[in-house]
Amino acid sequence: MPLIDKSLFVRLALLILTGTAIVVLALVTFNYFEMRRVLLHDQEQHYTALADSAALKFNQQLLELQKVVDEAAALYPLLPGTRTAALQLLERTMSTKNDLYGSAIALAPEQDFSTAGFQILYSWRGQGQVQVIDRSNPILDYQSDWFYLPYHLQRPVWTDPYYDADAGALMLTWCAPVLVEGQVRAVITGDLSLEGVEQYLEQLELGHAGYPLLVSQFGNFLVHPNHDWVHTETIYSLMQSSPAAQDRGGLERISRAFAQHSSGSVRFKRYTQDEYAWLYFSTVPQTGWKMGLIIPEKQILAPVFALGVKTSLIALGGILLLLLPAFLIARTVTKPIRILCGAAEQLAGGNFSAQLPPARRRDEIGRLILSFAQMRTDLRTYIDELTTTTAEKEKIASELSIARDIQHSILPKLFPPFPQRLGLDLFATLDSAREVGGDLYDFTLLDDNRLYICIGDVSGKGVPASLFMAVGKTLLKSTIQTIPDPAQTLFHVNNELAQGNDSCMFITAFCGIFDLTTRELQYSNAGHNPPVIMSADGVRMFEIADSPPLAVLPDIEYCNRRITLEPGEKLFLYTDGVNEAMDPDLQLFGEERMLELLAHCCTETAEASINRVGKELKRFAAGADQSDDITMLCMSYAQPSGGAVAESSPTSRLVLKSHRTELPRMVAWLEDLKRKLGWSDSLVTKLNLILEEWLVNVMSYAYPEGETHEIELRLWKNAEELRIEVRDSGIPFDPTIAAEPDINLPLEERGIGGLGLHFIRSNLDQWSYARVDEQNIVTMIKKLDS
Amino acid sequence: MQNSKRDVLLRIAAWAVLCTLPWVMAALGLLLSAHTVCANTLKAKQAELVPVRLVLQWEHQAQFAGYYMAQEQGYYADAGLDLKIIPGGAHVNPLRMVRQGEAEFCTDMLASVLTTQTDSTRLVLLRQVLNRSNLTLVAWKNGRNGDLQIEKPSDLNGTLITVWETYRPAYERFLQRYGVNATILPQYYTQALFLRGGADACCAMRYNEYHALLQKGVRLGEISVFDFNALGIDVPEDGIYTRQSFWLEQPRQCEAFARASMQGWEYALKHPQQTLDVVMRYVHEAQLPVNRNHMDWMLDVMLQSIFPKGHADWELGILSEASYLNALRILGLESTAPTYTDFVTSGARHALD
Repeated sequence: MPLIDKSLFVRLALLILTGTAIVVLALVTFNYFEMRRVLLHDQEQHYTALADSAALKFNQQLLELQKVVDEAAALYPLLPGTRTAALQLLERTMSTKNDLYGSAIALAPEQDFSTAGFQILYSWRGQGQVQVIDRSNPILDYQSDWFYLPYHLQRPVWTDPYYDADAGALMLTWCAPVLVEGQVRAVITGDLSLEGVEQYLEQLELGHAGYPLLVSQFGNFLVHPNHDWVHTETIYSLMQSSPAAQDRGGLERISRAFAQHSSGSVRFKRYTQDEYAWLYFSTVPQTGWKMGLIIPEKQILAPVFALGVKTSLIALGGILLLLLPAFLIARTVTKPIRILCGAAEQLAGGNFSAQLPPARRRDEIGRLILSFAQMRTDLRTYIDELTTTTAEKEKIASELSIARDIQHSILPKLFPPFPQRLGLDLFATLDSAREVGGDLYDFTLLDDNRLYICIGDVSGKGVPASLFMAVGKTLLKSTIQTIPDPAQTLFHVNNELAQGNDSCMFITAFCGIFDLTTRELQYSNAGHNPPVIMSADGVRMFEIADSPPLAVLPDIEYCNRRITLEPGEKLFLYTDGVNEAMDPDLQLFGEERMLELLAHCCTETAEASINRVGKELKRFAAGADQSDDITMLCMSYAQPSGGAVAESSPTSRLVLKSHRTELPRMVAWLEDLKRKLGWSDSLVTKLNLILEEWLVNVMSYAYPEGETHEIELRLWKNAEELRIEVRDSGIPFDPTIAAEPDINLPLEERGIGGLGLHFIRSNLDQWSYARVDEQNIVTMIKKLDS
Repeated sequence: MQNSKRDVLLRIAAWAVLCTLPWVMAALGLLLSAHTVCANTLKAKQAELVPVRLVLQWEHQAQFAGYYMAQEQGYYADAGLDLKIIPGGAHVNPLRMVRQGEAEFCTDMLASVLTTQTDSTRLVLLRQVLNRSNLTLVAWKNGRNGDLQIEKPSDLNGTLITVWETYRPAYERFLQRYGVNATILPQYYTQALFLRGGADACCAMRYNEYHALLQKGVRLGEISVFDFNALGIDVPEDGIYTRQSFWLEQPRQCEAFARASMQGWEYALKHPQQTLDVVMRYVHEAQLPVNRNHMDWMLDVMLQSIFPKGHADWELGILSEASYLNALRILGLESTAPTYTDFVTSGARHALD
């Protein structure tokens, strides 16, 4: 079976063979049964004719004898009723017919025997010559059928057959009454030996197993190969005594056929045997006897069997011979398919140049090859197109990514933005829903004490919104730097944007200026969400004027409002991406939830608050796609207690991780400053050595092993001097009061960092140490050469 | 030349004969003496047995199975009898043979014996073997020409019937009882006339002719059977007879024979298959055209008619006086027949008689 399943070739070959075998088998079978039918029909005709002719021949014999006896009976009344006349008549009768065995003239019992001179005369052929006797026991003869029957029936009749010991043969007698005036005067008989019939029947050509049958009108077997049956059994006695139902049934059929037809055939199971035989029979009209020929079916059908065996052998040989062509045909038919199959496997492996079979044929296989070739071409084209499209898509994606970088780069992202402004805690994020977004935020110090903050949302999303946002953000910033008034700024920006705004986009925006000295926030709003103020007492929303967003209509007047931010209060600006964030069931996050959340964040830093809100939003969305840009800005200001309030912003600032691998960044930072500020190489080298010495000191000892913290470097520069602050949150350590090293001690016994601090101190003009807010602040001052 | 040569040869032959003769004579003498001795011992044995002859009323058949078995089992020899069984037939008249002393015993029907009884040589009944009548009248249901309907006895009016002479009185009585006026023809050894449609009805013994008709293809649906036993016209049948003079001379021998015969029947009753085998052997030896199936049927009916069973009103081998008188009445022989005691020997009478 596996071979059949796997190979089309084997299957096809077997199919051809099986089909042929079935057809041949059907033919052989049909041939057998047809031959059988024909032969049986043929044999029936032949044997029935044979039986008919035998019956007729016998009947002819009977008729001839009847004629002779009837003539004698007709003649007798015309003769003188004397013994001589009777003897002459007997002699004449016997001589007329040679196969007449014997003949009798019996006077009826009422006749006058003495006048006639005889009572019963019998003549027969014995020992080669005709003899005549007077019957010795006439009374017994009168009681015999041969006299009794014609005497009472008053018509000629055949007796039943009987065995005659003298003749040594089976006999039957035709007995004719001599009727005169309605009286039976005498009976004249003629005996016929059945020997002739027996011999005739036995000479018939019935094959080796066939045999003849003669049965009387009462079913007596007269001729049968089983001699025990002859004369003793009848069809009916056998029917009574047979123990087997099969035999009784066969005899029953035969007796019925005998009763109903004068000639015909019966198929029956042979007596006490398990094989069928045919009985062909015919009736002898004169006696009603049945002459039959019994032929075993096996004998009749022997030629058919022989023929069947021969045809079967020929068929088998034919099928064997067919094996080769069947396999050749199957091979020819499946060859292109096999090649195609190989090509398809190569194609599946990515080889488009696999050899296809030549498509010379116009049949299904030819069409399949053509279709396959077409498919291969189409596939190749498709793959080419797909490659191009993918490349283009990738290009667009990379462009968008670049656009996103650019967009994000125009937003201030350095936190803390103004480290020199101690106490100012400001943090903002923008999380775009797509590659590029339409939200914006901004802040900058307009001067030492005024901080500009802004948040906005452009209608729509994607590239157009991002472009509009860039324009809006830039306009707002540049305008407010010129006109430090929020309402005025909004008015001008609105007019600028409203002009030629064919795409009908708009921006909602909130912008304000926070005065660090007075803690007052002057603000104006163009259709943006009201910001939130968070304090330990609770959260509250700004009161804002209901004014339209920017770029909708020109010449809209926006108004300024003022609010004072108390110490400990925090300002929270946001876009609608926060309160309109959606979960998978499209439920909004909502302002209430947002305010409740913010109430818990009032003591946290700006960054922590925003991160917390962002985290909560993500949790709420639970995997749902972000529908809008999420932008948040949080700010608080704690007035520093020292004089550092008025301190100006550092010229530059660097944050390092507390690890030595960060040192090159410090070097790069100095190189960058050297380029910008035009320092000398020697200065940079000296600064480099000082900072490296101190930083290595901090990185090595300020923190527990394995922990990483931030180290902040701030640099101020004026015409005379450089001031560098290094801040770390490590263990308190004041280097300025560290013991002077004993330079005379051997190297192993000196204190840690002793020489380094010595180097720092000797190369600086001034240095100081302060511990503020759990931080070590080391301030280094270096006078600049003129 | 030729003559002298022949003389020499003759001489040599004669000399040779003379030389061997005494030896041959001596050998012959030895043989003869031995033969005589053997014959004498055989004779001595046989001398104890009395030779008797039994003539059967018809050819060998199961009707006489009891006698075959008694012979076979040596019951006759045990009784001191050397029995020879003579088969009957158309040419044999058993009654005449017994009367004339050609045989000591015969079997025959009561009716046959009574109708042929003469005062000079009377026969006496030793045993009444068959106490039941097996006589029937078989008629074509539609008559011989197919234009009648014969279902009951009265339907026989106007028909042609063949009848055995012996039972003619019985049949006439039967016809008379039903007021039937029918033409009666004699019936002999065959039923050929009936079978050829020459008669509307014929006689048939239940054990023989009736069954033979069925074996010749006559179907039960074609015939009506009038059973005389069922109709109450019951003449007992086969009996064992001897002539009165012999009975008077040899009563013991007669009784011994009768008893051995009945013993044979009893054996047949107990061993029907063996009995049938013996019957068939007799039949084959006589080359009679009968089949085993027919003999089987015959034996069965015979045994039913001999041995009382169930409600049967007879005793084995006994002819009751009532039965005898009834038979006489049926046969119309009341005036001529011998008296019961004259006709029936003590062995066939009721034990109380």
